[in-house]
Amino acid sequence: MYARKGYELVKDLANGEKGQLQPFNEDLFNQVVDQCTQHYLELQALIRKMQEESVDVRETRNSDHYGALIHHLSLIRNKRCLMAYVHNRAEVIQNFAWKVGLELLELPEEIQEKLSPSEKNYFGKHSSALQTYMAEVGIDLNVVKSLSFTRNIDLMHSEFQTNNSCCNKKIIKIVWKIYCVANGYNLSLQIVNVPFF
Amino acid sequence: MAGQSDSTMSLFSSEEIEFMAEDEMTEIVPNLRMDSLNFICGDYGPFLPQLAAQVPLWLALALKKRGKCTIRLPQWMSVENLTRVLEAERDSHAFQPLPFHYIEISRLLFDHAREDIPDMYMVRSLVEDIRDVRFHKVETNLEKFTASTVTWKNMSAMEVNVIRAFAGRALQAFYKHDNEQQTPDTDRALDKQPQIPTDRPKRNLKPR
Amino acid sequence: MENYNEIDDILAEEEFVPVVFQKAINGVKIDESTEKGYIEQGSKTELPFWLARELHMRQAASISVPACFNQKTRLEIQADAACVDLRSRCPYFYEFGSKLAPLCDKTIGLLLPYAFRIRYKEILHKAHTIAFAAASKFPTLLTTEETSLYEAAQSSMAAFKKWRAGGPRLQRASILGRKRKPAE
Repeated sequence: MYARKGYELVKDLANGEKGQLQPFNEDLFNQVVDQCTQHYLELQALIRKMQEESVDVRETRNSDHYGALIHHLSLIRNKRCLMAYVHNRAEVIQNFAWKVGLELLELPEEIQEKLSPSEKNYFGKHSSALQTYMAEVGIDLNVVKSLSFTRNIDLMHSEFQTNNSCCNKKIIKIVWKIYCVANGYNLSLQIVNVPFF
Repeated sequence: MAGQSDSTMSLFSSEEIEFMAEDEMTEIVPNLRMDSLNFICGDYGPFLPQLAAQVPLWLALALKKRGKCTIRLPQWMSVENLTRVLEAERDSHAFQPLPFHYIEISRLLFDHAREDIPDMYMVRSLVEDIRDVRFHKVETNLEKFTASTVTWKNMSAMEVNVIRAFAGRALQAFYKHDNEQQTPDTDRALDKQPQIPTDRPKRNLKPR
Repeated sequence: MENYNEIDDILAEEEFVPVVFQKAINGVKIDESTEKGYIEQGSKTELPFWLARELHMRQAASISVPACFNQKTRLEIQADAACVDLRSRCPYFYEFGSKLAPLCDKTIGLLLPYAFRIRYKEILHKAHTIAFAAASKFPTLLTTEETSLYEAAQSSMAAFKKWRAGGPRLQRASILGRKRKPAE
């Protein structure tokens, strides 16, 4: 069936657990690309045939036109599948920076193995862009990890008189709130009389 | 969207809600003499033995853990008040006014300040009963969901958070279905596209 | 297109619909068994929705109602919507239905919210009675959308109960999967 390979690729992505990464399916990915080439060749052949019969390629709606149309649509469909595959994986990979760490080496080996070389490259560049940004702003935005640590380490081992850790906690809290707001945090329900922040 | 919570499932984890609850002010009675503490969120103290002071809950708990103070039970956590609230909750469809973080505050106090709570077991079981009654109410309310605006007064942070993911998705689905019913696919503009009539056939399915 | 990259949208459009070709088409093999590479006008087959829709729009094919929205299913939904196994009929029942409705049968558009309203209540009840859920076959009847709703309710409730019970605070980030669970 037409553009079936693209569907299989997306299905491969969907079969994995939500928000988790499967190994990059290079084999199937290439098969989709091959299928695209195939559709393109057949599309070209039909157009060429129309040209040879000297019919108007733009206006004519003959059986060759509809054949070419189907190949064209299949191409577009496969392209969408490829894009969605890469895009959705990229989102998960971006999340690693917030949830695990900004260095590729911080990721557990079993995760690293699942990334394609260009995905590793993407992760690295994304992380360094974030680091540059944080350095410019002068604030460590990666509070996601520190949040759970702060509560425990900060409160349990801090000395009050020095105040530092308490201040840190508050800074983190403020930045975290900014982070939530910046990420389009909104209440799914309208709550009356209960200001959340 | 933050912390260890799964961003696809809910915006906040229970731990994060607890974190926010720690900002609520609490009354403590210190047993030490200490200069005032200057934090970004404000100045607290100076602290004198046996003189009650208002501090955020996180500070109260930290002092408590070091044996530097006792925590005064908030007024709403008294047995009399909780008994009254429980009765009112059972009698009415509406949610009774309680602190926005009542679940988190009570849990934190039960965990770390049990010797400061007279009738600890009574208080704890009252809070649990209230919570159960209210959760049941939440479910009943959810049943009556439609795509229109939903307004429930006096729900607490944790109650909202527990249903946030579900309610958000459900509302989205209701909204989507209701809209599709009214406006069939209009975003496709191809030449020669047959005009789609917009008059809707009369609804013949009766809702139960 | 806002949901261009959406996995569920892509998968929903792969559902098959019966079509009748209104035009002859050259140079394609619709299924692998037909070798001739030519489709005659008036011939019938099943195509994935994404292709059927485009051909329908250009009047090259006409779409008819697929099995998952046939009369039998409708009667079952009207009889007891909560018990119908929609997943085996079509895992993207609602998404597929809403795409299909304007093209072939607008009454599908009425069926969907009706079915959803009833099934929604059932999901709400079953999701919060966790003990029941373990042995129940109810989740296997749900479509993809319903499953995510069901799981959202369950996991929030489970997370709350876990918080209430207390326990270790530092957890492995869920994004890393559950391969190496830290000792609890």
